[in-house]
Amino acid sequence: MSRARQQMYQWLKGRDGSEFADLKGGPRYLGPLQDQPFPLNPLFRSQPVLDEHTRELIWDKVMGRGESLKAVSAEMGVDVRRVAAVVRLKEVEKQWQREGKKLATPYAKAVMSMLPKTYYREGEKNLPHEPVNEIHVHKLTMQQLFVPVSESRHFTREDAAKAFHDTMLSVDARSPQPELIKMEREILDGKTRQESLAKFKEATQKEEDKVARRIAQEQQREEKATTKVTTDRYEFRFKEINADDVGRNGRSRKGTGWRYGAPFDDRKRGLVKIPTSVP
Amino acid sequence: MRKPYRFYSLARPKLRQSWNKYNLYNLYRQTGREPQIRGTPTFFQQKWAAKAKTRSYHGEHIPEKKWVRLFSRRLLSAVDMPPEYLAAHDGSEQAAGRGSGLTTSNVTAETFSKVPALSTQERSRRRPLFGDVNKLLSDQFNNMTPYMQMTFAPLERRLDTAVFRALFASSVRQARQFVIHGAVTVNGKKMVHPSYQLNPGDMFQVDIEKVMYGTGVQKAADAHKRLHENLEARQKKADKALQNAVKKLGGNATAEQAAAEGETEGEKPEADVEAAEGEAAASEDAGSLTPEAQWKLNNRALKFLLKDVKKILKNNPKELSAKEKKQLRLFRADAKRFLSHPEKSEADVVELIDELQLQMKSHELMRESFEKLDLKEGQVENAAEAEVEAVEATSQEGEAQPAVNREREVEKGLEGLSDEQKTKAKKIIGDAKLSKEEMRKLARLLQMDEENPVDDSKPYATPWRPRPYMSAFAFIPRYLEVNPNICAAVYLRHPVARKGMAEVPTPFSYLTSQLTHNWYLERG
Repeated sequence: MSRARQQMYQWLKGRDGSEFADLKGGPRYLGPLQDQPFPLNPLFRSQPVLDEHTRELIWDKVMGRGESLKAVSAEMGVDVRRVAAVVRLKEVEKQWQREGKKLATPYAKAVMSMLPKTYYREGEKNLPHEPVNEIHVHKLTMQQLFVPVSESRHFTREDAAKAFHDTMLSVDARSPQPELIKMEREILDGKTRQESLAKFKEATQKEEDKVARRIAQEQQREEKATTKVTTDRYEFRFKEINADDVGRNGRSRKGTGWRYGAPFDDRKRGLVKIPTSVP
Repeated sequence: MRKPYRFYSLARPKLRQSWNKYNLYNLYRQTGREPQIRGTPTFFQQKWAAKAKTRSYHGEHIPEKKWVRLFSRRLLSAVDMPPEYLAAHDGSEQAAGRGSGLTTSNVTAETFSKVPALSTQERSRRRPLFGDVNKLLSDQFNNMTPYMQMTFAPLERRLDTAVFRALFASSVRQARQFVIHGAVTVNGKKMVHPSYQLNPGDMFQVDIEKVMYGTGVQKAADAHKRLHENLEARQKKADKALQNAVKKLGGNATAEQAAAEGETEGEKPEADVEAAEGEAAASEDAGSLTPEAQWKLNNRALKFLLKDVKKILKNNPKELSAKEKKQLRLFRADAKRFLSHPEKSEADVVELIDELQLQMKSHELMRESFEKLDLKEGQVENAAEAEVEAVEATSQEGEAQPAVNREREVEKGLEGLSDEQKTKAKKIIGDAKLSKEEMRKLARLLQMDEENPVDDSKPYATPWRPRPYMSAFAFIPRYLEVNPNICAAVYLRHPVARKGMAEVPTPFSYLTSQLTHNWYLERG
């Protein structure tokens, strides 16, 4: 065994190394800081994940009590996209349980014991998991700009956005939680928190209902346009299409089918065959 | 790309996306640090070295050409804009009074943020190196957005990398193999391209067995040899004990006949257990054993079965030793045999326990009726019958009809007992019984065992345990939302940099990443 390997095994068998070998509850990382997995990179930290109960609670709030995603997000301090993802994943889990499919419980238990976690307890004061109103830094705003304005001018965020570009939207317009900003404004204007919170919940609920209705309508429209013929083996579905939708060269994405004679490109050399999205 | 020779090296160490212990050791001894400046390396040399270092970690399995095409100089970042701040200020406070060089307010969005800050608590295990360039440089980083650490962000979009980051595989190469082998689905559809670029909102799901295999302790060659030997020995022992019992009890031709029957059916040893186990109706028809002998046999079997269980039950179910786990497993095999299930059958734990409970209860009822017989020799049968009826009525209301029928059948076995036999039976009344509490505990224990069973057919060591050095690498970046129960995750958004923090997991310092970024900018 080489000297270097000897040293490695010495470290692995020693106090430091053996700490990583056996699980002793709680996360354990290499770095000098407690949540730092890489010793050289203090700019990357292992951030907490939602714990099992919190994820269950989110699912219950959305699916059981019918609260809107944005309301749950604002209340629990979890990003809206994450709330939606948690519900989606939980739904799959529940389906597995209904089907009697075996879950990866030992794996999940081990992994969750190794990760830092955020807990949310109902009716208690909780720290938020992550910022709920995070704004991407727009490319146009990454340049330094000198805009001379008069001292008396009230130069707001909207004006700043306009200075960067004519069509640039301000932070308020790009916020994923505009209703929440509105609510806070109302509170500053003198309304009680309870009152404006109720209004906020109503607004988000209404918005969500609207989306749900639109989806339902679309489905209905689709159904109306299709004629179903059921035989003993298959269900045939017929739809009206317009042959002209394929465009002049017969390759338009909007059209149905393929114009006779137009060559397929999907097996040509040099063209990427890896799908770019999965519906 | 082919795996390079000496992938994990100690002499020329390179950091890899892997949970390997060599990699852990290399991480620990800060392999990727910027070297002390010796001589005057040119800017090009520094960039080259940095690029080589980082590329051995980030997408080492991807050809350079492909990565260069993926590289983007547009690095993403995000800022927290708390709604409270946006409501209270319209941004004009940032511009006020600056003309004279005067700072009139210190209101920023950050002061409104309620999100918990990163930990600054140090584990003072090691004394810091003197004149550590990395550390000195990193002091100011908390106040800036570390864009340079986002250089390899496009790679985090790849499916194989995401599978690795979600802790479903122990290295990127393994994750890639999972994808190629068809164990990964994206939005419910099988995806066999590891270079598929995930879109925000995509859900990917990895086959549970693969994940357990990838993240679990590896299986040793003859890991379960001992268990198999034990199982076989146990079965033989059980058969022998039973045959002895039959011989002893019967002592006549009929018993031997039964034993012979068992021998002829030697290939299916559960058959004679079944014969002895107390199918009263059947044996009465055959006339091979008296009911009392039946009962005795049953008692012996139960005693044998529950011999070790009581010991296991005394301990905390969460801290079972490997030996106890094995005993539990043996008990399960025995119980299955006792209840005349085929051994290979995947009987549900709840079912098993219910049946066992039923058996024990009927055993208990028999004991009670023996006592009754003893007390009032006059109207034995009626009383016993009544008692049984009462017990049945109270305890078994919800039970299915066949179960009740079976119990009655067992009960009927007692009817034709003489006084002598009764006294004998009373002697037999065993201690092979478990209280209700113990029974419940046993059920729970078996259920816990069912969660993580000893199973030879699996490609990983069972019961499943995480790999030895997994905890040092266990982190899930925020751009993923993972549900480990079903081994599925959602790619929420692209990774971003924030103030003092970048979401791309990279083991290299800011300086190294900066040099790398400059290399790929291709500006001289």
